[in-house]
Amino acid sequence: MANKRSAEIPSTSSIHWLMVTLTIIAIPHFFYQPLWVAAIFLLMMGWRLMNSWHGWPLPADKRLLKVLHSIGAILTIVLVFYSYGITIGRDAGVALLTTMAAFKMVEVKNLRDVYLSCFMGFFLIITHFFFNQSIPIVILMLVNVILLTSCLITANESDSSIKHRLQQSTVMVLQAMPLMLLLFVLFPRISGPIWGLPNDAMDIPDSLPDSMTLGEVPPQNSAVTGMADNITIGNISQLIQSDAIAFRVKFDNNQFPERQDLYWRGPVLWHTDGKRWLPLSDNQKRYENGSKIHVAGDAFSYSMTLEPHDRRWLFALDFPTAYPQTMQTRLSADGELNSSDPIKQRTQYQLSSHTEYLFNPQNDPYLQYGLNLPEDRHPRSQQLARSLLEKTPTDQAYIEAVLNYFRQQDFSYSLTPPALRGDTIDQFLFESRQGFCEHYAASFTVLMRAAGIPARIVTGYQGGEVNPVDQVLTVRQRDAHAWTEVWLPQQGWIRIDPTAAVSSERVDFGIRDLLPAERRSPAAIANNDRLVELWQSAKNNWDALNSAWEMWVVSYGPDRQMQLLEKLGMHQPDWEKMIRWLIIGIALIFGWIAWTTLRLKTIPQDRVQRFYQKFCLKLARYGVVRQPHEGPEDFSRRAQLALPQYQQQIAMISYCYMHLRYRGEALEDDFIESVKNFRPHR
Amino acid sequence: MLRQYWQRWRQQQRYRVFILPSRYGLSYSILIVVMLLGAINYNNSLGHLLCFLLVGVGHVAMHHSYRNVRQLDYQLGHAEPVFCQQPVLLPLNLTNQSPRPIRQLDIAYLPSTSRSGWWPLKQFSRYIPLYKAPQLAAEQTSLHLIPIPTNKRGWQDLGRLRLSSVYPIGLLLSWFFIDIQQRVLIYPRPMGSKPLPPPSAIEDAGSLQHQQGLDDFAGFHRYRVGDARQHIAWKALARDGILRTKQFSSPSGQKMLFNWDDVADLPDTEAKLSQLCQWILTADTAGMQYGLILPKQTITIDSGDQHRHFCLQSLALYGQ
Repeated sequence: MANKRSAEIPSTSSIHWLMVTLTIIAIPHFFYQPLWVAAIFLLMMGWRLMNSWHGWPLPADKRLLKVLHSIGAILTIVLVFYSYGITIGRDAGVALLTTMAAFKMVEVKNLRDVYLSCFMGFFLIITHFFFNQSIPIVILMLVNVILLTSCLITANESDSSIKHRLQQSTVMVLQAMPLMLLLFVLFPRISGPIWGLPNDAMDIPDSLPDSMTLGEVPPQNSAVTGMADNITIGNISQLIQSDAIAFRVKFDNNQFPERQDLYWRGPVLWHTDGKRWLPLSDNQKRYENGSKIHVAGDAFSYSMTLEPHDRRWLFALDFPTAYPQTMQTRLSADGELNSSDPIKQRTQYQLSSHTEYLFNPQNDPYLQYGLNLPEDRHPRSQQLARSLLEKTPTDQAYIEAVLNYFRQQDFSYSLTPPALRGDTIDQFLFESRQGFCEHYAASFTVLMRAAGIPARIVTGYQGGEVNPVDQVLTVRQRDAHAWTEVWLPQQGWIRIDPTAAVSSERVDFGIRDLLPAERRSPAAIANNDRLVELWQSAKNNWDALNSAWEMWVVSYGPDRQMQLLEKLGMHQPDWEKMIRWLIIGIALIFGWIAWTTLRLKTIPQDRVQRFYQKFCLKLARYGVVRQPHEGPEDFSRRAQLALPQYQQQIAMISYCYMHLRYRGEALEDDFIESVKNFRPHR
Repeated sequence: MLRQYWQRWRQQQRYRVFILPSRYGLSYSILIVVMLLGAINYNNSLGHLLCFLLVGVGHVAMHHSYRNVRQLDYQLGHAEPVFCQQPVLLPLNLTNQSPRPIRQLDIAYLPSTSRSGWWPLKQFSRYIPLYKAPQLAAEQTSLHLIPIPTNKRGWQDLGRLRLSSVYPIGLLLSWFFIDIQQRVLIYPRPMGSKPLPPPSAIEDAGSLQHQQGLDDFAGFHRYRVGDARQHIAWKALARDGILRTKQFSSPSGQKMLFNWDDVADLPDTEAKLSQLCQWILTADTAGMQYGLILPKQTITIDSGDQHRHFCLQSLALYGQ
């Protein structure tokens, strides 16, 4: 329909505006992408700028340039394949889109090209969300959409001022928001993926390792969140570097367990070669009827929002007694709660746990694994175990003796222990004596097994921070912890945290207090208590906002939608009901926008004018419409002829009006009164 | 009650506004669908948010586009006769009734002859874009001369105007039609290189006693309809408000009589008419008196605007 317009040449100012917009949209990508993406982008923008400032030729002007431009584009595609491999994943796709938008910018020559560039801009905006889903990036999205809309306005109306185009597009985007929110809440969500996802579809932050290797000293400046390859072999101290969130917990009725009971159970490690600790292999693992739990006290119900970690395990407050209904899970015989699929997106589940329990008090299928120690390792530790065992009559007494050994010798808790060489357990127990949970848990387990007490290492998280604003407990990667469980007849598996023997603060107050002060608050204000407090409360509020944001916006999916709609009073929401309400909502919004845009009457400031218009309107209802060319006198004459029974009133009102208008005499109240009393009937 | 309001509203609407997505609007909706599929596939909630925002922007654009042409009022003026292949300048008064300016108004024209066919959209390609209105200020009326092309002499039925706008972001086209319902006379195209024929020898003394002419000033008489405009005594009008026409005497008494036979050597009728038209205009500008002899019609010698129009009309309607 508009084909004649497509050939129009866009004005230079509209092209500049488009370039500015695309650059603003592309900038966030430069941080994730290799440098050459930014370089090519800016090079192309520079070319176009030089064309409009200094008249440099564009590809369309010279054949040679056209060839060069095409070769450049092809080389860029090759470069993308070279850097990212042959499959187009998330990063490669974004790199391709960014550079192609820049290449297109140089050849924009008509309206069609401008639209194409704008549409590529919209695509670039959506790709931001693959990398970041925070509140600021959504604000940036709004700004970007406003800018792109203003580009479309300018494309059609090249002489529009910057103020007008921004004002117009801002108004449009603001008016678009009710529909956006309505669709966001009510549009029936489908759980993806519809087709396959590329491997790099999401960032996986650090997570608990599935094994533990003692003695590795982590690099000090490792990235806080990295890609998947560093999670296969990691260790807990590396996680302590990371403030990334592992999961959030909301306790029903805000009933929190005691701080020292906040052990979030994760993978259980059994096998060791003296250095490395591994979980049970898949064929050793049993699920059905493996465990008998006897509980006491009240259950704690809570909902967990777990960040994706690409593993199957779920975390639960030690010890889970009711399992999630919303997903397929199973509890292994050694107390690992596992999902049937890897957790690839933020997942929410409802659990309840008892903190007082007996776990397999009669018998346990894995007792023999809990006694295995590699032969000919840890000679000094074995020696120590034997000497302590001689002095103690019972298992309990032995355990107490080992803990006392940790307490009384010069063991200390350190996040930066020295590197261990040779027999790591012996070296730790008798030489370095500095370490964190991993070291204590591993050496304690060795000492237990040496004395014939079945023992295993449980990894997971300990503690967490309760945000006073929304009462959500946030557990971060730095809360990662390892402890031990020993099995005693009639008592089952008992949790013993040897780290607590050395550093009770770790358990009582959480890891936060053990971190250096500059990790807790910015160094600049660390010396001022009031500022620290203020900063902390601002941080709490921001965290609460973010937590609500991530729960209700970022992870708003099919489940959340059902949950929200039920909360809003929809009984058993299904897509038919959603569509019905959606249609009602759309109709209301349609009406509202129609009303705001079409409100045609301007209300004059001047009272006399306003009432004269009222008078005209009253006459118009009886078919006497004032024509644009008619003055009040002519109109009055015609109206008097048309409605002779009101001749006098019409004449009076018109006379007053003309008097007021042209002589300014004070008849105003009389005039208004007579208009009010003027009620013509046929 | 509601019905009454509806009817009143219908009466106030002088025209019906149509709205359809342009091809950019169609691409825009495809873009949204593709993006939404991507967002679903990646379970990306904020991707959904962006798609819905774009849906909202499209929806708002529809209202703005509609509003932009809805609050327009128009009055058509009367089209004056023109020479063939000159555009008819149709006066169109556009009133912006809204408190906001009306932007990007395009006016296109559909000749009455091509208004056929059962599929209404097919006509769209036949519309000829004529005029881009400048921004219409809020609550103002402005006069626009719409240049309607002509290509045939005689009466021309003016077809239909389409007032359309892709405001604000070009995704939707809103338009309404104005049926002009006027016919305008198209004079033949003045053309031809033949010199004026020699002055007429015919002395029709009866009607032209006083030898009215153009060369020497001979006094005033009161204006009569049809007097040449350039002979009006404007200065005298400013003095006492009476419209007078200057009279000239023409001692030479140049009177022209253009005869169909004078142009007999020209190849076709249109060329003949064009040549006659050219002569009439030349004679008229020179202030001569002239007459016209066509095969079935004779116009006696006279001068003035009305006479000129009469002669040209005879040429325009020759053979019709």
